[in-house]
Amino acid sequence: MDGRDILETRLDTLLDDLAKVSEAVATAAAKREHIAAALDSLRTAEIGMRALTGTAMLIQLELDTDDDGQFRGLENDTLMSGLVNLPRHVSKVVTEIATVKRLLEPVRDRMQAIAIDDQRALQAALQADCGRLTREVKQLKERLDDTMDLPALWAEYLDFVDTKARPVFDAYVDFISGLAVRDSDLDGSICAISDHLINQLLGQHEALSLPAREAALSMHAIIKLGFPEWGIWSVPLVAREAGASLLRHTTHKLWDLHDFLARPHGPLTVPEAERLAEDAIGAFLLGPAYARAMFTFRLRPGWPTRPGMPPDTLRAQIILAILRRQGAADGQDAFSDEVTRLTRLWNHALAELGADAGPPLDEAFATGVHTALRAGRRRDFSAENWGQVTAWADRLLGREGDDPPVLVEADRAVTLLNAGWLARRKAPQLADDIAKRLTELLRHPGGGGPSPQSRSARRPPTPHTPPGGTR
Amino acid sequence: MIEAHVSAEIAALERTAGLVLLVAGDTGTARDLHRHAQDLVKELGRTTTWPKLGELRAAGEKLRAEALCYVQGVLLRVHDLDDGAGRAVDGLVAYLCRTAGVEPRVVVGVDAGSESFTRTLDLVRLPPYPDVWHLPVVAHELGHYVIRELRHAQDKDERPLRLLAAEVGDEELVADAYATYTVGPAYPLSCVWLRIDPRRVREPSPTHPSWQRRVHTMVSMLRLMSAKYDTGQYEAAVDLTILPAWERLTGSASTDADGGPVPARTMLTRLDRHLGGARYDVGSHVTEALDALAGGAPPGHGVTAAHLLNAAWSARLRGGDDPELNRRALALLAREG
Repeated sequence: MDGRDILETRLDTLLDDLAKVSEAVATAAAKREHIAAALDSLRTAEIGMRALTGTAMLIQLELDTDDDGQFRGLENDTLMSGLVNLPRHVSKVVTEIATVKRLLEPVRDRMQAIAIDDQRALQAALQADCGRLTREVKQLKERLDDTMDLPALWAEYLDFVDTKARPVFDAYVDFISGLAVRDSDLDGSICAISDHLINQLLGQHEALSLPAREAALSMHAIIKLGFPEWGIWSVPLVAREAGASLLRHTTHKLWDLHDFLARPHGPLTVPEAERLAEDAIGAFLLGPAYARAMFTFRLRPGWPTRPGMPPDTLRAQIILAILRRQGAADGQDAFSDEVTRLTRLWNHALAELGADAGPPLDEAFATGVHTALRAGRRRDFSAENWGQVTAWADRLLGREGDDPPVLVEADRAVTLLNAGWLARRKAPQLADDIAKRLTELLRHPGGGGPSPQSRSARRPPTPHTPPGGTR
Repeated sequence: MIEAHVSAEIAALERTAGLVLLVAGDTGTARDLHRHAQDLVKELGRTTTWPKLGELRAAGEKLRAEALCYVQGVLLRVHDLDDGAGRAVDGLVAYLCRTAGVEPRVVVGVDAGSESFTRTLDLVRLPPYPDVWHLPVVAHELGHYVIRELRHAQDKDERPLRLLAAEVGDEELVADAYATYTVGPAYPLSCVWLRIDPRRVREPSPTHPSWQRRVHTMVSMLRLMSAKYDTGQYEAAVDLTILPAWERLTGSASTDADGGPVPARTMLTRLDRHLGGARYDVGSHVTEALDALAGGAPPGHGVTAAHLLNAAWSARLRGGDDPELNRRALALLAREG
C-alpha cells in the first residue's frame, strides 16, 4: 500500500475542517458584537432622526400656512415636491428604526446574558484547541514526503481523527449550536439561570452553560446541559459538571482531595473514585436539591452501569453520605430529616425496581472525601442555608405570611433551588406553579438580597441555636 | 417514585416537540415529531412498570436525539454559520428526490459523528461542514429514504426497492448501488479518497458490510452501466481513477467481493426499471460544469447536481482542492433546491 496522495488529501481536508471550525467560532462571536454595534448605530440614527423630525415639522407648518409660508414663490417643482413629501418620509424612517430596535433589543439582551469576556474566553479555548490540532496535522503532513513507513503514518492519522479531532468537532458543534439555541431563547433562559448557579459554585467567569445533546463538561469551561434537561428542576444537575470542572481543572483549589483520591480505595479504581468525588462535590456545594435532581433525572437503579462510571447505586450512596456529614458538620444537623427522606426515597426506588442495592460504600472513603472537601475552603451547603430554604419554600408554595429572610446573594441560586425542590416535595401537585415562581426569582437576580458576596471563602461555623431560641 | 419519572419523561417529550415547532415552524417535520412525541406520551401515561418505562425512555431518547440534530442543523443554517453547506445539501437532496419521483420530505440535521439516516423524522445527519467532495455520501443516505418511499408506478402499494433490499439481503448495498447509479463515479471516488479506513477494508461493521464488498458493488454497477448503455464513460472512470486509487489505498488491485457475489446486475435492472430518470449520464455536461466551477459561464439547464459533483472530483484529481471551486460548487448546488 502506498496511498501517499490519498493520505495527503485527507490531511488537507482535516486542515480545512479545522480552519472552518475556527472561523465559524470567530463568526459566531462577531455576530454577537455586530448586533451590539448595530444597536449603537441605531441609537445614533435615532438622535439624527429626532433633529430631522423637528425640521420636517417646521417645514410642514410653513407649508400649511397660506401660500406655503416661507416657501411661497418657490419655482423648483422637484424641490417643492421633496419638501411636501419630507415629513412623511421622515415619519416612515422613524417607524422603521423603532421596528428594527424592537427586533434587535431582545436578541442583544439574550446575548448579553453571556458576558463578552466569558464568550471570548471560550472562543479562545476552542480556537487554541484548533490551533494545536492544526500544528499536529501539519507535522504529520511534513513527515509524508520523508517517511518510509506509510502504514504507520496512516495509523497515526486515523488515530488522531478518532481521539483528537473528533472531540474538538463535537465540542464545536455543541458550542456553536448551543450559542444559537441560547441566543434564540429556545432554552427558556435555563442556561442564564444555570450560569448564576455556576458563578456561585465556581466563581465568576469560570464556566458557561450551553444547551447540548448530553450533559458533560467540555473544554474545561463549558458545562453542557443535556437536552431535554433544560428545565428549572434539572438546573441542580449542573453541580455535577461544576464538580468535574473543579476536580479536573483546578487542582490547586482541591489539593487535599486530589491527594486523597490518589490513594488506593479498595475495589474502586482511581477514575471511579474521581467520578464519585464529582458527585460528592455536587452534594457538598448544592445540598439536598442535588440529590433530588439526580434521583429524579439521572440515576437509574438496576440499569447497566455507564462506561467509565461507578454504579448508580454507589453514586447515590456517596451523595447521601456527604449530605449526612454536611448536616452534622456544624453541630446543627438542620436538614437531617430531609436526608432521611431522600434515603427512604432511594431505597423505595430500589425496592420498586427490584434492584440490587449494589456494593456498599466504604464509609471511610466518604469521610475522607468530606474531610478533604472541607479543607478546600469552598462555600458549602449548611444549616444556615437550610433556614432560608424552608422559609422560601413556603413562599414558593404561595403561602402568605412573614416575608422570607433576605437572600444572601452569594447563596441565592443554591437557596432558591433547594427551596423549590422542598416545596415540590411538600406539594407535588403544585409543581408547575412552583416552577414558574422559582424561574421568575432566578431569572431576576438581585431581588431579595444584600450586596453580592464572594462565595469563594468558606463561611464561619454557624453558631449553635438553643432549642426554641431564634437568631 | 415512578410517577415522578414518568412526568419528567412526558415533560421532556413535550419540550422536544415544542423546541422543533419553535425552530422549524409549522412544517411536516415538526408535525411528524409532534405526532411521534404524542404517541409516546400516551403510552407513558399508561405506564406503571419500570421495564416499560425503560423501553419508552429509550424510544424517547432516540426521538430527542434526532430532534436536536435537526434543530442544530436549522439553527446553524439560519444563523449562517454553516458556510452555505446546508443550502447546498438541500439542493442536492431536492435534485435526488425530484429525479427519483419521491416527495422531498427528508430533512438534514447536523452531527459531528458520521453520516446516517434515521427513519423517525426522515432525517439525514451530516457533519457540519461538508465540502462538495464529501457530498456524494448524501446520495447513499438518501438512498435509504428512496428505498422506503419509492412506489411502483402502477401498483402504489408496492415498494419495489424495499423488495430489492430484501432479496439482496443488505439495504446498505442497495443504497450504495443507488448512490452510484444517481451520482456516478463521484460516489466511489468520495469513499476511496476521503472515507475508507485502509486498515479495515475487509471488516464489516455492526451496521455496514465491509468496504471491500461495498466498493465492489459500486465498481460492478459502473461497469454494468457502461456495458448496458454502450458507453465507455463509466468504465473509464473505474479504470483510470477509482481502481488506481483503491490500489494505492489498500495495496490490492482487486475489489472482488468477500462474502459471496453481489447481485449488481439485478440491482441495475431494478433501478433502471423504477428510477430510470435518475441515472447519472455524463453527456457533455461535466465539461460545462467544470467550466462553471472554474469561474466561467453559469451552467445551462442540462447540468445537474450530479454533474457538478463529478466535475468537482475531476478538478480535484487534476489540481487538488480549491476553496473557491468548493464555494462555487456549493452555491450552484444550492440553486437546485
